[in-house]
Amino acid sequence: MKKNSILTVDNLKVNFYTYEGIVEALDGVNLNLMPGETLGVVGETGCGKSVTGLSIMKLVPPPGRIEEGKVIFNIKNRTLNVLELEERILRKIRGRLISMVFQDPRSALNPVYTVGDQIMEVLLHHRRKTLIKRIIDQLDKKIKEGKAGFLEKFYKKMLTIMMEDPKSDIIELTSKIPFLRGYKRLLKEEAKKEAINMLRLMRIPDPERVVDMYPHELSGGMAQRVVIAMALACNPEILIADEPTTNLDVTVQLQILYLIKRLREEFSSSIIYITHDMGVIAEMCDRVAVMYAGSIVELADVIELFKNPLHPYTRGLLESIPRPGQPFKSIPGTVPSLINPPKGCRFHERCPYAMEICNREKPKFVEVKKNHFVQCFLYQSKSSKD
Amino acid sequence: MEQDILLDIKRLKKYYPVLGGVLRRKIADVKAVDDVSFRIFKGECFGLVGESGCGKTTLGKTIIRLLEPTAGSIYFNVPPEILEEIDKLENSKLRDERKLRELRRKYDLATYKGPKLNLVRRKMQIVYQDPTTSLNPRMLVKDIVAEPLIVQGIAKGIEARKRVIEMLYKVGLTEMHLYRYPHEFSGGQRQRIAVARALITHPEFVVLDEPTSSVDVSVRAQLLNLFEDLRKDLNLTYLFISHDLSVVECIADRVAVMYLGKIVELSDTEDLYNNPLHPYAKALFASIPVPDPTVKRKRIMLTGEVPSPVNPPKGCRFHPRCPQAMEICAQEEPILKDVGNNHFVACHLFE
Repeated sequence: MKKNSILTVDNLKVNFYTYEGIVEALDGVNLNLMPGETLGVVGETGCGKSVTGLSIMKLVPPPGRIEEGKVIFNIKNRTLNVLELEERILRKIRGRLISMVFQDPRSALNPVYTVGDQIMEVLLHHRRKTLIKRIIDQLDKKIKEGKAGFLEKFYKKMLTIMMEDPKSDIIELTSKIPFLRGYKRLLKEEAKKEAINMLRLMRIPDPERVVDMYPHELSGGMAQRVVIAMALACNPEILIADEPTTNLDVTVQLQILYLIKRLREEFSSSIIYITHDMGVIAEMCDRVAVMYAGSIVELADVIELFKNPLHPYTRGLLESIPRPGQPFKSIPGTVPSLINPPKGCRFHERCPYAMEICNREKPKFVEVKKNHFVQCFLYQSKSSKD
Repeated sequence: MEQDILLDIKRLKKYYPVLGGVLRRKIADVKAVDDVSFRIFKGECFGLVGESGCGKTTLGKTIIRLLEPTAGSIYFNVPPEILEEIDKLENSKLRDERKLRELRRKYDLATYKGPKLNLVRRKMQIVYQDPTTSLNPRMLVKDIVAEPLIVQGIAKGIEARKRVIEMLYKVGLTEMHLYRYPHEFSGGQRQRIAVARALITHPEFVVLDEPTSSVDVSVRAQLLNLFEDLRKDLNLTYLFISHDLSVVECIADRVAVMYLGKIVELSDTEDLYNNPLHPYAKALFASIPVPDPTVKRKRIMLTGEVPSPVNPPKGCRFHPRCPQAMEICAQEEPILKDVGNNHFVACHLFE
């Protein structure tokens, strides 16, 4: 695929080893993400949308295993294959370069910590140095003005050491002595300030109060804003939003969608937006990937996809949007079990255009038009002639 | 257009007590449904929309007496002459309290108790949102569907079995499914079992409480078609509760919008969706994402959050968030009024 894309997923295969058998959750997923764009991933329950998101961060929970494929992360002229990295390096990437917003904000937040603590955790983990630098600058100013006492000078020294080596002996020692460990407090205060700042960016009213609240004190919409604040705390290059508005009411959903749109412009992040709602896709995305039973069946620009859907599944999905005055249309049958998925094209059992070849072979993912990819035998011949 | 009234709901209230203090005494009320009146006609599908926590489900459950109403009356299948008489009695200055009480005891569902209530129950049923939790996982389909027949003493044994099979065919299942447990079915099929259970006693009125929100889009349409077909076949009347506004638009004949325990607007579906009058309804309908990337609609963004129903704002409950709030809104509560063409609004803008 294209060279300048920020993220490339290539032939990703993920299996889950359950007692009932091997669930082939992802069966060769290919996609790419351009800088600054919003890519929508749409599909029904169990089609592998969330697993795709988790694989990109290498967070697939056991019994799941990434069997094959590459997730290539291309940033600042460096190329990283996420799936080959060690856990130690991954921890530095997650949250800073790629971060994720989960569907249910209540289970994504820890109920026994305040909102502020949880945002500060991200900041202290990834942006410790920037925070320390800011405090040192403030202390410097004080020292220059001659207002600083012994403690301030000592704090500055400690923080300078901390910036270079947070685990040095002197830090370990002084951080245990009550009167001398005040510099840690300074660091926390600075992080809290930044956390309040983040909450303000999320348009949360009265952030100074909210920062000390526990998740149960917040409404669903507020909690989701906090989760988004956490995800954006380090200004990530890629934000994976996994159904961030599914549990929310429409009026709150609209607020969150606008927030994400605005933040995309402010932070210039690229977004992978996972949802099952075609309306949200139309509202938010530049390009759309339609997933069915573990693979991407169609990938196109949003306007092209809505105007000219090619894959029979995409057509069915668009037709099943209720429209007043028209009878309800549906796709016959149900999503197949991925333990023993249909052979060949996984959609052929429900497909009105199924041909004989469909249950033998798996169609290839081909570019039928410019930037319009389809995985279907109806369009294979055209491209092979070219 | 005159239609037969199936349900006439008058000043219905449902408060939940908030207990507190050492003695666990009642210290406040959650006003889940607060003074709601409307009518449902025979054979129609009445949509009820609103955000979570606005009292939609409580209203649905109270109407079919699964919850004890705090106040108000529910007249179910009462002849129009008697409804008129009750109306007259309630509105006349010299109220004949005794006669009114007598009539209410006879016709008001809210006063029914014991065997009399049980007899009405078979005429009103409910389908819940999530079939995985509303179906007992340890019962076979044949027992789940037959249970209402046995409880109501309508049929048992072979007769019940015959009716179960007949019902299963009606909802798109077959005899094959009789000896299976709920977990063996997909979400859509499970909801069909729940529908079969609700319809087996041949009810006239069915409350559908978010029946499609737990299933996928491609299956949703199948269920909606089933509801439509059954309505025609069995002459049913629905109360369709949903937060999915686009589904309601397609299935309902009339729609009521609820906000914080009150109905704020009620009208024919087409009229309401094209021309919402209440500022809340306007904002609500404008927030539906349109599945068309070329359309850019004007959005009305609401600020703030839904206030707590324990201590709702004085006057109009929407006024703290309303972009068109006036002075009067904070003082007086607007009444649901007909603004013509059977379009009811509770807003001071239209007085």
